[in-house]
Amino acid sequence: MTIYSTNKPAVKTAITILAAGFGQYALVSAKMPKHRPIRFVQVSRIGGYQNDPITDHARLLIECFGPDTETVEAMTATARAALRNAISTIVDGVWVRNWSNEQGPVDFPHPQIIDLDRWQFQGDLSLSTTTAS
Amino acid sequence: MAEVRFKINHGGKRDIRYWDSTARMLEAVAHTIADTANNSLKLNGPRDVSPGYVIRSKPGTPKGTLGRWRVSVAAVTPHAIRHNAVHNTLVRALNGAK
Repeated sequence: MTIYSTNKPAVKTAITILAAGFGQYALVSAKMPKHRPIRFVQVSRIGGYQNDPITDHARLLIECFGPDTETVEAMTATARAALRNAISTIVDGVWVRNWSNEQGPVDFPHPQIIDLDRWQFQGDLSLSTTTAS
Repeated sequence: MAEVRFKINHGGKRDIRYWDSTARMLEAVAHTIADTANNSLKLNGPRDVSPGYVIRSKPGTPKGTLGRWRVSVAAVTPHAIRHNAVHNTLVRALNGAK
């Protein structure tokens, strides 16, 4: 009988990775902030799969909001680099196996937030289900 | 030792990509995505009774080895286009078709 462990929190792990990458430059959260800062990143899980007991593949959507195109493009580049650099590292006790199947970024303006630009991209964050030590 | 030779039938591979059964399989996936997206779309009164997300299914250009049946899902009504931009509905619905 296959024993499945409880999956690790993918969105929380991604937020930790991105928050470390941005530092004080931009707020990173799972929800849209009520009082929007000039630069922020929203992380949400839009799917995923688990083919075996040891790896959870979380499909994540990363939305970067900023005041102009140059800023937002730089933010997406920072976010992508942070996620790639997190491969094979331990983040808050979670072993990050891979960041793959990335699509984007695309310029996709939010119709209700007209004062900020939005660029977004998606990817699979593969996390070990076992506890890292 | 016996020598085995085979020749790839590129025309046959292309034919498979245009089979009716291939097209129906792709359309089933597209319908799953469109239905998921339409279910999340709150209708905006009587003027929004038509489905906002629809599928298009047609053969691609049969040139070379890249020709295949093409299926897409798109937001076509203004309400659906705005809904997709706010909620990323189509991207989220993609996972349901796997």
